[in-house]
Amino acid sequence: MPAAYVRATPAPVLPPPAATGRSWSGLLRNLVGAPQSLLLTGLVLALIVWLVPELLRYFVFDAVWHGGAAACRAANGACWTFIGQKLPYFVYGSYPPDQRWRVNLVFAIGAGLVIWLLAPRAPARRLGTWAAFLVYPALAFVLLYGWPALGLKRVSSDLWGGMLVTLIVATFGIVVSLPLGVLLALGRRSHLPAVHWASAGFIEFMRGVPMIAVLFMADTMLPLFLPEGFEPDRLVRPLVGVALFASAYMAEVVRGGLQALPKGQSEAGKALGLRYWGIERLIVLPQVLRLTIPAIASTFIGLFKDTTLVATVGIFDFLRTVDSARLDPNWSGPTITTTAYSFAALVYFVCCFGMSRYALGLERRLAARYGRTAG
Amino acid sequence: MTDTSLRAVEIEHLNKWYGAFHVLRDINVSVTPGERIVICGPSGSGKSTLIRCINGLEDFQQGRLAVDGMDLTAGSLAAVRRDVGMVFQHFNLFSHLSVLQNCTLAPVEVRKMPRRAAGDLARHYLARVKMADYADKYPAQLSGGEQQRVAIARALCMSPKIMLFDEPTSALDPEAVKDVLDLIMTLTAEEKTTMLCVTHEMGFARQVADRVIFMAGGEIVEINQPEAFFTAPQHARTKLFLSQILR
Repeated sequence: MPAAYVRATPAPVLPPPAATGRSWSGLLRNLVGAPQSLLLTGLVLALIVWLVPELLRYFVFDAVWHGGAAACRAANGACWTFIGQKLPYFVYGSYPPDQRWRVNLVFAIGAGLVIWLLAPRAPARRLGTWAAFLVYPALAFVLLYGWPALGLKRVSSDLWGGMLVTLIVATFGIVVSLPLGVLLALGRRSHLPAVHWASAGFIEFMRGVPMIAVLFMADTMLPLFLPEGFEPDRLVRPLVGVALFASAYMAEVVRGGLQALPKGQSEAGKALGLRYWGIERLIVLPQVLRLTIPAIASTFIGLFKDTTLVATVGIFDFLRTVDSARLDPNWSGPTITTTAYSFAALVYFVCCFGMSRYALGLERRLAARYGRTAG
Repeated sequence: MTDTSLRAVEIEHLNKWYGAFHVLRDINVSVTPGERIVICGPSGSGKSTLIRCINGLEDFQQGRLAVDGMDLTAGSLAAVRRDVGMVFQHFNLFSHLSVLQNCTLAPVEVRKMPRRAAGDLARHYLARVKMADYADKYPAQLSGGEQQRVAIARALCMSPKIMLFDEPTSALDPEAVKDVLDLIMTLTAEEKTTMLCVTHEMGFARQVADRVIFMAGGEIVEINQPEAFFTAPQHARTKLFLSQILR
């Protein structure tokens, strides 16, 4: 065979062959192609056949969609009318019914701001950021807590409850923990010993203590640190506890990202004459936050679920309202408890899954724009 | 010529240790403005560490280093870095910024230049490195040679008096090497920038350098004009090095 070769005609440029990865025959081969896959497919099918009809029966066909407590007591399925009747309590807690429009207004403005800030290619995002982080909290506070001079009756936070409280705790936690976590992460990497040890100490303490203990400490100790006669609101204490707790976890997530970013990025910044805060703000953090989107989303999801723990210090969050509503003697029935907890699970799942999907979408959008590699 | 303000870079009795390891030993170099220096030597000889000392990316324990007559101290570091540009072996473009934003970042944030003027300046230098059509691309979309050309434009946008090149072609494929070297040659000549370049490209050294510094084992072994350096090396270590790379 001759070793030399010289191309005489150019190799033709062809379209790719038809897709092979996701065809039906390929799927079939994966499912039943080999004895092991046949066995696994059979097991999974059996599980589906066993579970799905039972779930459908309980939650759909035998469920009570119309009719009152008596119908529910007789039924052998979920009691959805109970959920429908208790829904206002799940959303507002004991907030006075004639004042609930104020909560609705806060929800509506909040939803509008979330869409404004999270939607891709939204206009005037900078203005939206100021509105969301400065104007909105003050406005929400005035609306919810009341301002008699403006004709808004005072509603003590003892009466707040349900989804309202869950969203307040979660939103406050998310909004505070990200910037505080970033500062703690930078602090832990600082060359200044005082800053380093203070940050590391705070992070390790918060991570080493159960969240419930943090909540109890916030509830009982926070008043001790504040001046005499200035009693922080009952709801403010767990709010601070949750935010500080989440910040410690966020700090470690961000620190992981800081370590993953090639050192050359900040060196290039230094070589161009930027100073520490310029490098962190303009070069390091934008890349680190993008790198850590999956972990940040996980932390937010964890935080959202952890808000249920504020019930231990007597706050009526969403899960606590569901839990107390199921004990209502007017609705006593064999399926009430299952219905109530299933509904709570569904609501938490929808919220957390939504966050997860948004994070995934954001990740993909950014990857499409900037590519996958750093420096 | 004892007035140090006439020196672009003045290094006297510089010593540096990594822990107990003495990486730079009694370094003495003085570079006049506009001079073009090539630093070569085997790997681990301390040549990269030396040029990284000039803009304070590395610190040193003993000796004196002055840039443009300014002694390098914590107080003068920012001022020194504004006047010293650097091009890295691995480009180090900011991956979250477009090519144009990479070039305008420092003029806007450090020199406080208006955005529009910084954009014009960036486009000017991007055109000079033949990357004008890539202004809106992101670094991940560019080849190594293209990234390095952008990195050169980014450094030049700060109008540095001194340019440091840390093995600017070592990470490039062979076809891009000549391209980038030609660019460094013409641009530093036109801008009359003082240049210190760490490189293994001996042809480039011979063509461009006013002086070649040869380092080995953390010390400067020989400094000479390129012609003399390549044709009549004095030190035994230099002869060995040249005999191994110029075959």
